[in-house]
Amino acid sequence: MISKTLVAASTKPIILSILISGEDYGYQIIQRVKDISGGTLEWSDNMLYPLLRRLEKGGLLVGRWKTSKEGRLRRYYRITDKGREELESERRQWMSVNQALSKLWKPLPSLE
Amino acid sequence: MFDLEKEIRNWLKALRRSEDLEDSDIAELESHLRDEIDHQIKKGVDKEAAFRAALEKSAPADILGQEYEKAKLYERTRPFWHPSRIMPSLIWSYIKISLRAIKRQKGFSLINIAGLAVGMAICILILIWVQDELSYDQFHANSDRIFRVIEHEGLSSGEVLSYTQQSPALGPVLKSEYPEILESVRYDSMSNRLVQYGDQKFYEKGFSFVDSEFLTVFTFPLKVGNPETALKDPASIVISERMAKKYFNQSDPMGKVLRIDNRVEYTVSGVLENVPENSHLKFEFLAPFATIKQFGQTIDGWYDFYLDIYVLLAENVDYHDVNAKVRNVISKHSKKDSFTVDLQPLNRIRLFSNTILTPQVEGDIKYVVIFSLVAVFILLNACINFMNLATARSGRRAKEIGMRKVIGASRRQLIRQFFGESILTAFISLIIAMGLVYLLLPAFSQLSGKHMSFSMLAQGNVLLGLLGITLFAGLISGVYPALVLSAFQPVTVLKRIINSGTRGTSFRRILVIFQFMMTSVLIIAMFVVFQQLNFLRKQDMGFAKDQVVCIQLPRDLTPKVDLLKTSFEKIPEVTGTSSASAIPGRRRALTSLDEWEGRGSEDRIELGIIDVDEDFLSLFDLEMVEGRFYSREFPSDKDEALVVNQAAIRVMSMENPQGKKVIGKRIVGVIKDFHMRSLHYKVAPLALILNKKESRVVFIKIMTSNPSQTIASLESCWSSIAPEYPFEYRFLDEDLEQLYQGDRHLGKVVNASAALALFVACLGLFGLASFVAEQRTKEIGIRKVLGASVPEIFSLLSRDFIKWVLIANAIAAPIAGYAMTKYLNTYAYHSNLGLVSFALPVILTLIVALLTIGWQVLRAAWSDPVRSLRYE
Repeated sequence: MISKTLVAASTKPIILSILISGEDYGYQIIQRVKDISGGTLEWSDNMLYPLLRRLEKGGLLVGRWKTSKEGRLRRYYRITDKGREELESERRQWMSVNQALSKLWKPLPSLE
Repeated sequence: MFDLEKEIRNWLKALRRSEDLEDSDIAELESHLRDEIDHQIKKGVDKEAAFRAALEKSAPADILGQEYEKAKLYERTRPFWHPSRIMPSLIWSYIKISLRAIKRQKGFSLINIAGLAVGMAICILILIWVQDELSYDQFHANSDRIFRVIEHEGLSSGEVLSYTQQSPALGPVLKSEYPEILESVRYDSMSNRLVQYGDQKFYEKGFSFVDSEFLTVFTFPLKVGNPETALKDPASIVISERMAKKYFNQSDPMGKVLRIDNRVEYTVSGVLENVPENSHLKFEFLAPFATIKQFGQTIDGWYDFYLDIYVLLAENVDYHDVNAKVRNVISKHSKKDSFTVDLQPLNRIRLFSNTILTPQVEGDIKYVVIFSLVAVFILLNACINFMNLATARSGRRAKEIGMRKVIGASRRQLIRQFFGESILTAFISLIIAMGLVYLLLPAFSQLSGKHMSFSMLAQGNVLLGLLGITLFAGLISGVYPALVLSAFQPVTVLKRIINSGTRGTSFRRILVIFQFMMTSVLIIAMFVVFQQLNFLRKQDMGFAKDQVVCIQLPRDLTPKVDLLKTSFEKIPEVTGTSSASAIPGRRRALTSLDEWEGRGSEDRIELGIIDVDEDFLSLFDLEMVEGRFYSREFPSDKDEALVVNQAAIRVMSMENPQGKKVIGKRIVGVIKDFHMRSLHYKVAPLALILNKKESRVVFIKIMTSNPSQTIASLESCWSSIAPEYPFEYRFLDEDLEQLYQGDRHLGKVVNASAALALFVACLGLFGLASFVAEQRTKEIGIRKVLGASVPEIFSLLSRDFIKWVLIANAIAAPIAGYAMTKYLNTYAYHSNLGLVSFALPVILTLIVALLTIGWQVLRAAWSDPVRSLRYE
């Protein structure tokens, strides 16, 4: 189980990273996060959708309504240029945290 | 039976109850739910179980709502308890509060709005005036390529004289020798030509002679006729619409014949639109240049300087380069080697000609600057009132400010609110100011000697100016309240720690002092100008100017001058007559003199010349200091004798002038200096030449208690000798008054602006005084109860104001002293800056200030202590 703060901090980069490979809709995003994380990250709708709305207002995403093959109306999100920049900066931050932690943890096998 | 759609509808209904969820959010959540249900069904459960499972995974409606709300707030990148930058819903509230504040403080708002309106009205008037001054000669299509030729002459004293008058030969030479000069046009205006059509005869001003290219170089459009050819025919004449109406009324003027001075006939070949007021060239008739010969002027040669020359340069030519080339054109062609020439741009003629000796200079950039400054002064005064009253009354608003802050207003919002309020006030003032301008415009037109109409406001840059003035007034007035009031700490304000009114006292003091200083400067200026005008009127011109009638003499009548004189002298009220080439004080011919006995080889002076007869001395009560005046006893005087004034002797540095040779004649007498020009100028060297052939004016000295009867006898005398010329006369003293018309205009403007500045300053003082009286009501009550008398309380309350006014005067004195000394130095003869000029403003401002605050203060002093002590 991942702590609440860490989940909150990681949602934005994860969403942006998922959408970089193409547009997608909310339900599918939750499924993909679940698959990728091997089930450790299980997002709820009440977290994702408000966040999507926020990112859209912030100009990082663009959403549009599309009818799927099953005839269901779905809102698909696409990443914008601003979103790409944001993701790049997020990526750099996460990488440096990751590097620091990796260096710190390497000589401490006892942690296993 | 489980109905999935119904359950979903119920679920949606719950969602819709949340305020934070929008329809699109709900649609998206529904889509999500359905996906989840499908997913569950695929796993093999029935619809009901799938729905329950999906619902389990999803949050309840209220939680969802909260999450969305949080996300929304987060978007603003500020904590939710901070107000947003712009709250459109509050704008109406601001306007309401502003109007309410204006309404609730009627007296103060009145002072603010009245003051601002007056200030703005003055600004607008001056703006129109400045706009008009700057628009001079801009209407010509080629205005940036037209230049006037100026010539400079160095005197041996080191002084350089600049003239516009050129010799006729220069015009064609400029055009033929310099490829950059496309056209050159000669222009000379003669006043008082007698124009006749049928039996209508009038003396006309603005009769001008021009080269035929004049109408193509300048843009004076013709209503009828072709500008290219209208002046080609030597007997053609172009007249203004005004004149066409005057002489021909409804009938077609083209082809009609006008007779000038009873001799020369012209055929009308074109009708001009009336010359715009903002043209420095003013004329009603344009005749071909060559015909000026018939009016006694040469049309060729290098030595007769009387006409103006304008040139049109080729496109993309820098006139400075041309200046360098034409500089020595005169010395190249004539013996006048001390003359240089340069070009003055057309659009500088109106405002930048004060160093050039030209027949009339009306505009001056100095006046434009001074009036603009005065306008800004008065507007500033009004703004200061606003600031003062706003800060003084800040206590009243303090609670409102505190409340707004507690509820969550940011400082920025308050600043915007106060600026909004002051700008709103400024706009209300603007409307009133426009009304004032409309009412004042006729008076202002008269004051400034300019024809102005309300429609001048409709020009683009004037409108921009109006907007600028309004915003300026609004921002300046609002700056202090906006910055200071908005900085109030809500706690201190609401706990009444700030005693309303004590805030900004020193700031207010400085503003009031500043205000009164400006006013005082204007009042001192008013006194000095008044004194100087008085001085000009009273100053002895050195010749007798009272009871002298002047009659212009047409050239044709000069042979009859003696006949006229003798027949005038037969009238019993006439005590003497004389004739001369010019009116004393008015104008004179100038020549540069470089030939006299005992002259140093490089000496060169400017010598004025007036042609007179033998009676000139006695008629004007002039005095000889040496030798004698012309006399009929010496018939050879006409050719050999010369009388000069003391100034001429001085500049020629002659020891024993009598008998010395100058301009081919011998000096027989030296006349005491008298003023041949206005008192702006020093008495200049002058030669009086006995030459009746150049008589242009007849002077008649009368001694009568019934002038109109005497004039009637003069007229009957005139018409028996010269029936073909109308009888037109002027009194010399009235004529001389016109020399100072410009000065009187200035005087009036200074008076008006000083009065207005004082009025606006007093408005502010009145407001402050009433405020102070109100503030100290309780204190006064206590003092009265303890035994203070009314005079004591009066002096207590007015002491501060008096101190401020005195300090203001003390600061104003040196500033005004400096400025006024500069002003007086523009006159060669002027009154002195007396102590009176400085003492009077002090007394005046003090009295006015006391009167202004008096009522408020007395009311406070007289008030019943019982009431005031109960007052809260």
